[in-house]
Amino acid sequence: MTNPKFKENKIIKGSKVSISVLIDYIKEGYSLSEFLSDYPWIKRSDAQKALDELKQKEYPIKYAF
Amino acid sequence: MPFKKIRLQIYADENFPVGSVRFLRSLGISIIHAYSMGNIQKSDLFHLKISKTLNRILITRDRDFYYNWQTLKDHPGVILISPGSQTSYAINQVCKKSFKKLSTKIVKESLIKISANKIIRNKNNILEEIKI
Repeated sequence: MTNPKFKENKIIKGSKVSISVLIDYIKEGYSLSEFLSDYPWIKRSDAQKALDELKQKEYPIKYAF
Repeated sequence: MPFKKIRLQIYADENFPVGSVRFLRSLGISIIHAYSMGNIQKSDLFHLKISKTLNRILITRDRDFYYNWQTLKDHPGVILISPGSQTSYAINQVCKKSFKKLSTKIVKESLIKISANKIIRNKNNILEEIKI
């Protein structure tokens, strides 16, 4: 169930895993493959798409990278 | 010094990284991941029910995890891991440091919030801090 407080916290398609988790991995120098080995049910294409969408937005880029 | 064996029986929901499940097993903890049971994209309530059926403590990393005291009645308990970083490495470090303070009895019918430097036990809205 979604708490309104975290409504803006988007999830990666095909999972309940927040994009913020993926951001933490990338920010700390892990590869996309390492992230996917921790969440093997997430498709690489969906994780890559989430990253690409982030790169198009200015504010998460400042936060993430 | 060898790590003291921790006798916890755990069920991890899909927000918990598989790498951390492997790490906890290496510490001697009995842990099943939702993924191995095909329980992906299920509701929080589903995970609460299945963990109760399995008689295992539910572990999650989901800050938004839904629960109420009614759902925790007769439940083995819920552990919410909230390290600063959400990588499996950070989760492993927090678990290694804090799990030796936990037992089946402490966790039962409680929500245990574990952060980098403290454990907060919440049972029926009564808060207790356990020092790490």
